[in-house]
Amino acid sequence: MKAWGSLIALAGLSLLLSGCWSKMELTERAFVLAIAIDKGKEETLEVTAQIYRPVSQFGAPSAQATAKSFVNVTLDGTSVSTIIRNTKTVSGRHSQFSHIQILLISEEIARERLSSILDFFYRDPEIRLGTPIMIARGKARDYLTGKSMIENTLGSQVFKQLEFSSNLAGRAVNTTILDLAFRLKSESASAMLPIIMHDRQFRQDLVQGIALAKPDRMVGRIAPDKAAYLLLMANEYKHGVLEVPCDRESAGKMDAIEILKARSKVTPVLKGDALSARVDVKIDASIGELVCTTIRDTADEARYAERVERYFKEQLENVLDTLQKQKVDVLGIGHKIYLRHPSRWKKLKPEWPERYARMPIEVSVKVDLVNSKMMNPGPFSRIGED
Amino acid sequence: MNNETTHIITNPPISANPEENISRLKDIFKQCADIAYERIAAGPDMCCSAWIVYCESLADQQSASDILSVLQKMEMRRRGNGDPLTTQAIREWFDFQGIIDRSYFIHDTMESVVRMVLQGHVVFFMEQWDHAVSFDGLKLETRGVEEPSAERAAIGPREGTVENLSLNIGMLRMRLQTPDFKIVKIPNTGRRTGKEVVYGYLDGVVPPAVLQEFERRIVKVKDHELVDTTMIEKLIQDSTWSPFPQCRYTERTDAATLALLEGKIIVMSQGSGVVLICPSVLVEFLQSIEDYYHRRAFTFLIRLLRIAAFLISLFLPSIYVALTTFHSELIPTVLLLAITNTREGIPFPAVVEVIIMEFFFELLREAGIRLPQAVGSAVSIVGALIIGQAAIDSGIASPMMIVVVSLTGIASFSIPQYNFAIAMRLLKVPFILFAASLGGFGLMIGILLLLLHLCSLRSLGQAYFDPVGPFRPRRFGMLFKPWDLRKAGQDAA
Repeated sequence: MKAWGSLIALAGLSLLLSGCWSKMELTERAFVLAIAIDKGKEETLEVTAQIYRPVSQFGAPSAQATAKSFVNVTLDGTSVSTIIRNTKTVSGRHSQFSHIQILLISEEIARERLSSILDFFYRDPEIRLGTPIMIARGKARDYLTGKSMIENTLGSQVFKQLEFSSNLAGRAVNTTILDLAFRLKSESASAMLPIIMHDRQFRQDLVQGIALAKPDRMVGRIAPDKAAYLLLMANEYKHGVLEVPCDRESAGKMDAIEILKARSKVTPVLKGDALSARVDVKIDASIGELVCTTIRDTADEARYAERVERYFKEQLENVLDTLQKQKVDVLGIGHKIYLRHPSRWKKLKPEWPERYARMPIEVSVKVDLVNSKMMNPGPFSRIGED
Repeated sequence: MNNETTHIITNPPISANPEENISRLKDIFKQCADIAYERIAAGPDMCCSAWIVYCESLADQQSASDILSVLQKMEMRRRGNGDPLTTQAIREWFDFQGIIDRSYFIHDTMESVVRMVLQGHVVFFMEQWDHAVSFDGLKLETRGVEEPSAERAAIGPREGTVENLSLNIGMLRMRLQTPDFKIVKIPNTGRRTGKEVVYGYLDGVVPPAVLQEFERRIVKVKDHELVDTTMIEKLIQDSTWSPFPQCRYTERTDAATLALLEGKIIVMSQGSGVVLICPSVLVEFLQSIEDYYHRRAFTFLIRLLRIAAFLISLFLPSIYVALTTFHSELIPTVLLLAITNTREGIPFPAVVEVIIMEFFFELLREAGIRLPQAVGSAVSIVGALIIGQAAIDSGIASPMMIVVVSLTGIASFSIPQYNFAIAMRLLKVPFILFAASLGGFGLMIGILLLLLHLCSLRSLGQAYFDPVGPFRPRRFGMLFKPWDLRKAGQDAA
């Protein structure tokens, strides 16, 4: 009995003497919801952390309504980790990075250096590898200030926009910091990042366009209207609507086609010393909007599909051309060669960027119109009537 | 039967002189105002005297007058024959000519006479005969058979047990019309309470090893003063210190019948409407009699719900404490932001908050149980105001904590067996402390200790955590569906 008593007492003590480990109340933590990294003066960095500001249940209701639900802490310094550690001196609470919704990096700094500012985010245990990363045109901090449209904080607002843009609109790509690491560490060493930009005319922020990145820095951009074609080739296109220009008679007008499903396959071909590649894109689509095309039967439909294919192929080649000129292999052709012929890749690797820029890449597009929306020739038209 | 010395004189023989017997009885029942002694003059010329002794508060007057008429008839016969009165003659007379609707007992010691009087028998002594005859004249007011308030069911019989043992046995016998339904009586348990205890089982269905173990333990009941059947649990349970009950209780006759069909042993006692069912294992505490009456799919869902309720009532407060103080990264962002909003401005750490609110809740529950119904509703209004509104407004507790605590409470109410729900109430406190000191890691330690305990616990030799404890995937069905009664008894072999 005595032995049991002392055993229980010791076990109880071991619970208490542990100092309660990493215990910290919610009210002692500050939850960082977004981080923006800008270029500071000269060589310094300017890091903005958006911290959720809990709205207390107590107090006058009028104060609650007007209170903003987030605060931004901006500090500058030379390394990301010291700046972030110093945010506590401003907020007075322990910054917790587990719930970061978005990591914004201004284009300005991304074009200078990328890997050196991102290192912290791979080492810190609190930051999730699933955190999406985004390139901001202009000052990254500006996207975190102001009022959010619908969501509680601007961080989650931007995150939601990105999700929509990549999943349903096909205008951006959702890249997490883990994806980024995979892409940049692969043999192709190139990655795609979504871009957020400010629309001056309508005063709103848009997530669209794709930034092309190499491990050390960002090297180029694909415009929002071309982004879809890059995504189609990279097998990242989920859903969206694409426009197909009309013939000469009704120039300036567009038919729209809804992409239901798109698959692509990139096949590098290595014959002797000759290097080439094939990109096959297969698209299941339905007619979204017909402005200048009339479809009465399956022959018309096939003709229309062919026109779409032709136009798409043109666009895809156009985007490929840009990629090759900028020497960014975001389609992962180099990595595919490495997987198939590892020994030959060793010899090929030093001269890969040049070889990539020169190699012929053949594009083929197959469009299946799986749902022609009742085959009506045009709006308000009757069957049998022209 | 009872070898211990009591104030009752040890086995004195009954004298042939009734006056002597009566004076001795009067000595034994000193200061017992409810014992009635009646002298009857019988026979020709009223020459012979007989005495009737009974307990007024137990036996009805009708029994006493019955005896009077019997006595008169007997006197007539005796006069006609002229034979001396022998035990044999009395027995014969009662067997063949006496009052046929009543069984009689013949006693030759004063001790048994005393006991019979206290059990409501009417005893009479006659001249020239050193024995006494008694009839069962017990007449107790019994509550009507009604639906037990603690075990209401939407469908199914509305019959519940009452405080009358023979009536209860009768209700069970009506439902189990087979000689396999055995009823074993243990009369006169305890020195002073003298309660009659009965246990029953279905022969061929109950596992013999369990029955043997049970009978070995129930013998101890002899020496215990019992007030209620529930006190028997302490004699037959395996582990005294376990928070988990190892016996179930019911007041429904259909539930008791089902338990018998499942191979359980039931225990009842005089003066208590509670039927004790043993051995009981953990999954049975999550079962309700209604599971047998509803459709299978519904039963399955309800079982899932109860398993969830079991886990919630045990772990929810501790999980909340662990997540909010140690592992906030595990909470989805939007929920986390909602929780931080509610926690902002609360002066206490989460663990203190949860302990305060659990304390409030248990206090209200305890207050509500004891009070009469009219006052009880007042308590619940005050409780709802204090807990629901004032605690939040004054910044003692966060709304999220109220949700956690009340959900825990409601989950424990939805466990069908009350004594099992008590175990949950008891166990959640150490889990909260584990979670508060080491977070999820501490919770894990607690859960491991709990699993170790559950796996080693036995109920009358049956594994308590079956089919999870000894891992038997084939028997997992018993978690989600009622027993297949056609298979009853197959396990017994």
